[in-house]
Order: sequence, then C-alpha cells, then structure tokens
Amino acid sequence: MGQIALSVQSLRKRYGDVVAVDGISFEVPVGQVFTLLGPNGAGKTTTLEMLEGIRTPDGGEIELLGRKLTRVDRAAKQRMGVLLQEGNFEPYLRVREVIRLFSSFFDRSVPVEDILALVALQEKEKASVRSLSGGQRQRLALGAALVNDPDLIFLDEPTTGLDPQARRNIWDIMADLKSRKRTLILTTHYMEEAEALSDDVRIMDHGQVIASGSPNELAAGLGQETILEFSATGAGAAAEKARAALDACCHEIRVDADTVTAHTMDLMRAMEELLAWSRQQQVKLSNVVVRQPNLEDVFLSLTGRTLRE
Amino acid sequence: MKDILSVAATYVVTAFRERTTLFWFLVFPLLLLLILTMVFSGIGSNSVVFDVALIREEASQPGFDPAHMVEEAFRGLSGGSGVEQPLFELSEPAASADEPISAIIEAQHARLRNGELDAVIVIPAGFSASLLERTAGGSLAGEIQVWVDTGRTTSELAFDVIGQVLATIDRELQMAVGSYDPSAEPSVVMETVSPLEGGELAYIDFLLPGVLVMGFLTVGLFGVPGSILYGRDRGLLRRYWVTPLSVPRYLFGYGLGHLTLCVIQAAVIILLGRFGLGASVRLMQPATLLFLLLAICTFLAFGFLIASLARTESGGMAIANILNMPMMFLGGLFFSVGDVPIALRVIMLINPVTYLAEGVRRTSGVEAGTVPWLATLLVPGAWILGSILVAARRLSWDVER
Repeated sequence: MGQIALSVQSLRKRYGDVVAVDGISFEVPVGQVFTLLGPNGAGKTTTLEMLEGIRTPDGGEIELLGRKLTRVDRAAKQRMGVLLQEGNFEPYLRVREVIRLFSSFFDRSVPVEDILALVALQEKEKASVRSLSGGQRQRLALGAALVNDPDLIFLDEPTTGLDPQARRNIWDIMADLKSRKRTLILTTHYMEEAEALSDDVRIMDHGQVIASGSPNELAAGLGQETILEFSATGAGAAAEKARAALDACCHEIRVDADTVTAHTMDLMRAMEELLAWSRQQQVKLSNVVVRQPNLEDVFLSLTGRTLRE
Repeated sequence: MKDILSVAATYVVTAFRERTTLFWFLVFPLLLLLILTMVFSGIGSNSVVFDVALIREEASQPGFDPAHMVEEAFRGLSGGSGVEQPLFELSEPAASADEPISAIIEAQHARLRNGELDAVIVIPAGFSASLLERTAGGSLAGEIQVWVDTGRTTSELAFDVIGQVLATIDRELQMAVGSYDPSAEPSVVMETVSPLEGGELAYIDFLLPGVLVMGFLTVGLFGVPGSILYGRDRGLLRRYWVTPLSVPRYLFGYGLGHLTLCVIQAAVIILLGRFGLGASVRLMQPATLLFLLLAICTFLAFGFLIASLARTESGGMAIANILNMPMMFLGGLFFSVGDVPIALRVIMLINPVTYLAEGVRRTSGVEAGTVPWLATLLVPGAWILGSILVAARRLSWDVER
C-alpha cells in the first residue's frame, strides 16, 4: 500500500439519541477512489462532513494528508476540495465570477480558464448561475471544489438528481481526476457509480461499515451465485407462486409486484424449473435477465434491503 | 486580503444585479426623502399652536408704552381676549430680585434648544425710545429680538407667524402716532437671532441627515441579515464552509461591500437633496462624514448581530422589525423628540440612532447638541463592538440541524 492520504480510526458522531456514525475506521492510499456506499441515513454524509470540517466528531482520530487532527482546520482545507451534497451559489453571479471568488479563498489556485476547461463550462463562463441547468450547476460546483488543485477531493453524492447524460459528464471528470492521481472520497447510493469508479468500497448501514473491499471482491463474496430476474403475469398472484416453484433450487428470492429476483448456484436447474412451471401454470414470463451479482445484490444480501429503501 | 476583497466585490456586483436590493438601497430612501419633503414642508395649518416665551427687558413706562402694545397683541393671540383658535401658548417669565433678566433669557434659550419652546421673543431695553425716534423721522427702529431653532419645522413656522404679527403691530403703532406710511421702512424690526450659527436652514436641511441615517438603518437592519440569512437558508454560505474562508473574514469582506454601497447611496441622496430639493446643509465635512461612517458601521453591526441570532430569514426579519420601530421613531430622525414618557426616554438613551442623528446634525450645523460629544461616539461604538463580537462568534454557515 502506498502513501496514505486519509486515515480514520473509530470515528463517532451522535445526534441526541441517534448514533449517526458508530466507530468506523478506514485508510485511503494516495491516488485511490474510495467510496462510501449505503442507503439514505446510513451515515455516509455525516462521515464526510466530519472529514470536511463541517461537523466536529464526538470521538475518533483523523489523519489527513499526514497531519493528525481532532477537527479539520484552515491549513487542511487549503489542500482539500469539497463538493457538497447540498448547497447553492449566488444566483446573480456569473460562472467565471464564481470560480474567481472561490479561487480567492485559497493560497494557491489554478487559472480560471483551466478550471472552466476541466468542467467543460468555457462556453458558459458569462452565464449567470440561475440560467444554468442542474448538470451545469453541478459541474460548476465541482469546478469550485477544484480551484486549489486539491490533493484530497470529497464528493458527496455528486450525481444525485442528475439525468443520465449529466451523470456521465460528472463521471468523466472524476475519471480524469483519478487519472491525475488525485485521491477521491466519494459517497453514493448508486451502485453503478461505485462500480465504475471505485478502487475501494465501504458499505455502510446504520452508521457502521458492514462490508469492505473492491467492487469485484465484494461481488465475489456472494460466491458463484447467479442472479435470475423476470416478470411473471397470469392468473392470481403469479409472481408469488413463482417463488414457491423456485424454492427448491434458489435462495434469497425477492418478489416486488410482478418482478421476481432469485439467487441460484445452479442456473440450468433454476431455468428448467421456471420454464416448466410457467408452461404448466400458463404464466407469461417477460424481461428475463441472467446476470452476475453487483453491489446492490451485496447490500441486499447483507441487510435484506435495497440501497434505495 | 484577496478573499476579503472578493467577498466585497461579490456583494456589490450582485446588489447591482438584483432589483430588490437596488430598491432598498437607492429607490426607497429617495422616495422617502421626496415624500417627507412634500408632506412636512407644508406644515402650518390653523390648528398649530406655537409655544412662545415673551420677555420684556424694557421697564414699564407711564403714558404711551409701545412695549405694552406688543405684549397685549401676543396675549390677545394666545386666547386672552376670547380668540377661539389661539396662535400662541404664551409664557411671560419676569425678572425678580433673585433672577436677573439675562438669566431668564438664558433659561428660555435652553427651553428652546430642548424643544419645549418654538420661539423666544425679547422686547429689549430702549425699544420704545428707538420706535419713537423712527416715528419722529429718526433713523433708529424699535428692534424686537426673536429667537428660534432653525432645526425644527414648528420653530421656523413660529418665526414666520411672529413676523406677520409684528408687521401688524408696526402698522398699528404708526397709525396710533399718526405717521402711517405703507411705503416707509417698518418701525418695528424683527431681529432674527438663532441659537445656532448658519441661519437660513429649511426643513429639508433637517430632513436630509435624517434620511441618510434612516437609509443606512434600513439596509443595515433589513438588508444585511436578509441577504446573509437568505444565503444561509438556501445553502449559499454552506459552500464557503468547506473553504479556508473564516466567518470573521467573510464578515469583513461583506462589511466592505456594504460600506461601498452605502457610500453610493449617500452620494445619490445628498445630490438629490442639494440640487433637486435645495438643501444647503453642510454634510461634506470631516466630522459629519465621520458620523455618517459611524452610522453605516453601527447598523451594519446590528445586521450582523441579527443574522447571528436568527435561525431563519423570516426570524431575522421579525427581529429587524422589532428593532426598527423604536430605533427609527425614538432617535429623532425626522422630528425632534421633545417630552416623552420615562420608558421611552430610556429607549432613546440606549438607542444609537439618537446619538448618530444628533452627531450628524450637530456637525453639519443643523441643530445644537444636547448630548455630550463623547456619548455621540461612545454609544454607537459600544454597539458596534458588542454586535460584531457576538456575530463573529455565533454566525454559522448553515442552518443548525
């Protein structure tokens, strides 16, 4: 493992009776993309806010870029870039003015033109913030987080609420940062985002880390399983009846309206059983998908819930 | 320093792009100035009763006594001869063995300065003799001294009314001695004596400093917390939180931008007052400018204080409204505050507007001072220091969660 950009030990935060972060620990080597994955309320944002200096931890240790801190100070912020989950810009400012304003807060800063090019907003440099689309605003926010050429970049759910194209644009910028050996700390509840970008993932739930590893390692943790998904329509509760039909050859069978998701170690047998049952019961099968497990399945397997619940 | 200047520039730039801010900074004080000038310059209806002190310095004399005729005229206009709507509420303090006439005149001047009187009329010694010389063809005229406070509208109006009364008395006196000539110079001359130097000041001269201070008060009390809390409620300030920018440096930059806008605001109001409404008050002098700067800083600090205490924008506006009324109306911005109940007097004493308005008017020659010089600096200074200390400690970048 190379040089450590961020090390967290037994980090804790409580709001009244609610334990938001319950003693989590992790290390992030320089140049890696580290992802906290989990549903809303898992404690991802609180963890990030403690690392960004917004919240004061109730306990634990933070070592950030080689400095041990009880809370993040001004010197640490000089080397950090933060894309907050929530936040706006002055609506009457123009794009170039926002970048220039944020550049003025740091001892060192990248030329405004370079930032505009990085987030592909050169053509919008004179546009006011209020005239930007959601995706453009998020790129502007990312630009404002990168004005100081930070060594450590925090991205709190950077693509939430964006359309697929805007999300892809943000991913491209993040991939570019990764190629420049910047250290990225990412939170998301989009498993495809974590899978596409992450070197290391921590899955959080109820303030604790419940699984860790690379996306491939986590998926491999489910063994040689295959996921079978289909929709069943016919007389009565067809999908529910399908559960019974697959019970002998599948496990973790989940029914959501007409859609059935089942894990199996014997795909051939499961398919035969399913087709035989559908012919016999005259149930129509559609949207049949056979795939390998992903992080969503890992989370489901660990908690019995989906990431979006 | 570049962070502070950037915050200041952002404040100024966005203010000029946002109509609401521009309205409160420029349009509102200008409208107020125009409206108040139009409404209060027309004071002088029949229902006005002027508080006047009449002092006779000249001793009574047997036979023809012109001073006595003057006294009787004012007594008659005070309801003494059954006038339904008296013009004057007349007091006639007389000299005694314990109190010489000079002390009495000085005491009445003090009442005039305090707003208890609208005018002091003195019939000086030698008045009758001078008058008789003029009516006999001599060059001396009988001089009646009229003291008014040119900083107050009612006092100025009292001056005009007394002038008309004295002109009538002059005509009657000349007719009494059989030498009335409408084309001749008057025999009774009103000597204008003001407790202040500068003389010919109008209501606009009293109003202009008040509107300036009121303009700073409005944008400080409402505009400052409004924009800070708006920014906080909508997550604008959250973005600053994760940068090295500290709250005190943000407040410094914000204050610098606010000061810039207030200077522009003051320049526009002064130009309109001077060239549009004929004000002649001397505002562009170092001491007056110091008080105007002190006023900007005081209300800016109040704005920071409100922003740091309120949890939401609407909460901030509620606090601003609560503070605005007593600050505006119990600070002598538009009217001299005369006799008020003790509770209100306490508010006046802690109200920085009282000191700022007086400081501006006193240094610009509009009004004589009633508050010690040191207090006009110390009271607003204490408010600035206290408010900024609290704001720098309490203001948060985000709504508390």
